[in-house]
Amino acid sequence: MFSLRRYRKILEEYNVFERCAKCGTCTYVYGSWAPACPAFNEFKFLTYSLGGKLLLAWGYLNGRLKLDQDIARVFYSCTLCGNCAYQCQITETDGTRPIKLYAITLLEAMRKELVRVGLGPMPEQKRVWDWILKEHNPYMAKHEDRSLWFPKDVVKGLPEKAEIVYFVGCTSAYIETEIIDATMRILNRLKVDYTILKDEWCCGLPLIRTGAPSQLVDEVVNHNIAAIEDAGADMIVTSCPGCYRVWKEDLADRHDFKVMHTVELVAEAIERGELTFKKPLKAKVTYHDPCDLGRHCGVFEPPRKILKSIPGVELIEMERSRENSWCCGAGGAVAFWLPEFTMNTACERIREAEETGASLLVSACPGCAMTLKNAIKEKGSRIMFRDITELILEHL
Amino acid sequence: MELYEQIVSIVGSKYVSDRAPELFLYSWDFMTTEPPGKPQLVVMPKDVEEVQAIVRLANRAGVPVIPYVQGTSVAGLTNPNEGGIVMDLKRMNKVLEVNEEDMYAVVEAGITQAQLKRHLDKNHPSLRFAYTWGPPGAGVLPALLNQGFLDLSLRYGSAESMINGLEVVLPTGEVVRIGSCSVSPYWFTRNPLPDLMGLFIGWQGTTGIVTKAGIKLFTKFPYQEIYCVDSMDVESGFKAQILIAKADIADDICSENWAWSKMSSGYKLPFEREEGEPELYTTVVISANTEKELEAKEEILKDICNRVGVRVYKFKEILPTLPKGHQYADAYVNFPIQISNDWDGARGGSLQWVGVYIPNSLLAEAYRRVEKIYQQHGFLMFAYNRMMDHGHSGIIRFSTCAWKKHDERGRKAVRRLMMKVAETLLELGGVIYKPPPWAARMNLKRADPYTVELMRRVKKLLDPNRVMNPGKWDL
Repeated sequence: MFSLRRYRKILEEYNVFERCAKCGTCTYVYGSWAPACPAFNEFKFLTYSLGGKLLLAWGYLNGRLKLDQDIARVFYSCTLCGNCAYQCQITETDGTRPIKLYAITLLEAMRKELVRVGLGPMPEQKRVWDWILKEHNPYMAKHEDRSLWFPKDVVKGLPEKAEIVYFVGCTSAYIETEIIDATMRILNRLKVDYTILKDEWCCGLPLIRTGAPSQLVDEVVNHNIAAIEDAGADMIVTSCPGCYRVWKEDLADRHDFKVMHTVELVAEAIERGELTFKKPLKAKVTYHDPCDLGRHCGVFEPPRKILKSIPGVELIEMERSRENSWCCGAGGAVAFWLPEFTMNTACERIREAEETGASLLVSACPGCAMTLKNAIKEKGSRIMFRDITELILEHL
Repeated sequence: MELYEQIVSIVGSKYVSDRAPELFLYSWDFMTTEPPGKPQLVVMPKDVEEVQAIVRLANRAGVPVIPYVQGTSVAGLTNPNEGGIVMDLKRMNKVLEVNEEDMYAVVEAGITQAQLKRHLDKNHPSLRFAYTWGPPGAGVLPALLNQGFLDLSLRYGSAESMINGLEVVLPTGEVVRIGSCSVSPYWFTRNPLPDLMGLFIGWQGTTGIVTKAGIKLFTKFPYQEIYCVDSMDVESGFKAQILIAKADIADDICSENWAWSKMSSGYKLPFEREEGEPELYTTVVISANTEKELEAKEEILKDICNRVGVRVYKFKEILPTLPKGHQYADAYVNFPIQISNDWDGARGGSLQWVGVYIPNSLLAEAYRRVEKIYQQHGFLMFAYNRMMDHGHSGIIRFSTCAWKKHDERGRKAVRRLMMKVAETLLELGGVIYKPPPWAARMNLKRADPYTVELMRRVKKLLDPNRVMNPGKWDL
C-alpha cells in the first residue's frame, strides 16, 4: 500500500476504487458505443476493463485479495491509453470527474506497488529497465549509436548552447529516424535558436509507466535535466508525445522548461503567418491522435490545423478520434511484452482508418508510427502512413 | 483429467481462468448486500456448441454453472452461491439478423445494451430496441429474461414480452428452440404454439442457458418530447401517472422521489428535502408521427395535470439549471446511460433495492408504508416507479445506496431494511421481482403451494442434477 499512500486524499475524497459497480461504461465510447478499451477487447474477461482493475485494487486495499503474478499481469496488460477513464461519466456536482482525472494515475500507482512487492514489472520490461540504465534506451541498442541517423549536415551547424533543445527521444533516434531529419529541417525553416543534447538519454517513460522506483527514474531524469541546463535552454521541443508527456506532465515539478511538441510550434507559426505550405497534397487524409499527446495532454487541434493548411488535403476523421481515439496498442509499455496484443490493437486502428476511405494515415508520434506501420504490413493494407513532421517538410 | 483441463479442451486456454483476478471479479456483483461466492473457474464460450459441451461436462462432474453477462442484476443473481463454473457469455455478442420489415432481431446471449444500440443506430437507424435503466455493459437478454422494465414498457409491455423466440441449452445439454423459430426460419412471434417461454422467463438462469433470442424492434418516431410532472405529494403524482397511462398517449411514464432525484443530480449523502421541493418527479415521454399529433397529446397531458393539480413542463426547459456534468439531456431517449453515476450518493458503489410488480392503485399506499420503515431503520428512502403495459400494472423500487462496499455493519443494516421492505410490499399485495435468494423464498412462502410444487417439478424435470445456478429460487 506504500505506493498508494500519496494518493490517500484522492482515494478518500472520491473513493475512486470503491465506487465502481462494473457497469462497463469504461469499455465503450460513450454515446456511439464503439469499443474503447484495447485490453478488454483483447482479453475479454471483465478483469481487464478499468472497472475490473479498480475493483482488484479495492480488493487489495481492503485485504480481500492478495497480489500475485496473475494480478500483476492484468495491471501490466493495460496500454494506459486513458480512453476508459475518459468514458466513465461519474461526475461530482461541481463537475469534477474523478475517474477521468485520477484513474490512470492510480493504475500507475498500482504498478509501482506491484514493483514494491516484487511482482512487477514483467520480465521483458525489467530487461528494458536494465538496458535503459546501461545504454540509455529501451531498444537494446548501443548508446554510442544514438546519433547515427542524425542528419550530419544539419547537426554540423547547430550551436552548443541555444534557447531550445530538440529532445529527440529513443524511438526517433533508433527506429523512426526520418522524424529526426524532418524535425530538424522544420526547426531550421522556422529559424528558431535550437540545438540537440550532446548526450541525450531516454526520457524515462518506460521506467515511469511500469512503476520503476524513483531512484531509477531520477538517474535518467537528473542526467537529462543537467544536460538541458548545460545547453542553456529554457525550452524543450520534441516530436515524440511520449517524451512530451514525461517532460510536460510527469516531470512538471522537476524543471521550469517550457515544453512543446513540434506540431504546436508549427501550428503557431502557421497562425502567425510565418509558415505556409506551397506544395499541395491531393489526398484524403485521416489523423490518428497519439494517446500521450491527445487524451493525456489535450493537444488535438494543432495537428489538424497543420493538415488543413496543406493545400488539397481533405481531412477525414476516424469514428474514434480526439478524446475517443483508439490506442495504437503500444502504450503502457505493453509492446515490450505483449507484441501480439499490440499488433491486434494496431490492426484494429488500421481497419478504422481504412473505413474513412483515406489513402493516407498521419500521426505525430514515432511510437504510433512504428506500431501502425507494422500493422499496415501485417494486414497488407493499401493505406500509407506518414508522420506529420515528414508531411510538413515535404509540403513546405 | 482435471475440470480445468477439460474446459480448456472445449474453449481453449485463452478463455478459461482459474486465476485469482478472475475468481475475485466473478465472485460477487460488488454492489449489493448479497454475499459473494467462490467460483472454481470462469469460462467464456464462443458458441452454442461450446455451451452445450460445458453444460454436459458440468452434469457429469456435478459442478454448478452460472450464466453471466455483466453481473449487474442488482440482486446478486450471478453470484456463484455454491461455487462452480461462471460462464461469461460476452463472446457471444453478435446480432445475427435484423428483419426490418417484420421488426425483429436475432441476437446472441451475451450482447450488451451498448452493442445492440450501436448495431441498430449504425445499420438500421429507423428502428430501435427498448432499454433498461441498466448500464451500457448490462446484458440485453438477462434483463428480458428477468422481467425488468424498459423505457417502452408502458407502450409495449414488460421486458419479457419483447421476446419472440429463444434458443436454449437445457441443463442436460440439449438445445431447444421456442416460438415461431422452432417451426419456421423466422423469429417473428412466440405464438401460436403452447408457450414454453415460461420455462425460462423469470427462472434466474436455473432452468437453462439462453444462447439466442428473437427480440422485437420498434419504430423510431420522428417527433418526441420529454415532460416533467412535479407533484408536491406522491398521492397526486401517482394519480396523474395513472390518468396519463389510461389516456394512452405516452411511451413511458416513470418517476423518482425527491431523494433519488437529488442523488441523480450528483448530491452526496446526507441531504434533506428542502422546503417547497416536490416529493415526486415524474417523467413522461411522448412520441408522435407528426407535430400535430404531438401537440394533441401534449394538450391531453396538460389537461390531466391541470385537473390533478400537478406542474407540467418540458424537460429541456430545466436542462440548463441542472448541476454541471449532470445534464443528461438525452437520458430518457438515448439509452443506455451510466446509471451508476446517478445512484452513488454514498460514493461507495453500493446499491440494493426491493422491487415489486404492483397494481398501480396501490402505489401511493406502498410508498407511505415503506417510507415509515425507512424512517424506523434510520435510512433515507430512494424510490422510483414505472407504469407498465398501458397502465395494467406497475413496478416500484425502493432502494438504498447508503453504505460502502467495505462497510460490513452498513451492509447488515441495509439487508435488514430490505427484508422488512419486502415483507411489507408482499403483505400489501405486490410480488417481488428479480428477487435475490432471500426474497425469492419470501415470494414462495406466500405462493399457492401447488404453484410452488409445480415449479419444483419443472425445475427437477429440466435440471435433474441441480447444476444450473443453484441457490437461486431455492426450489
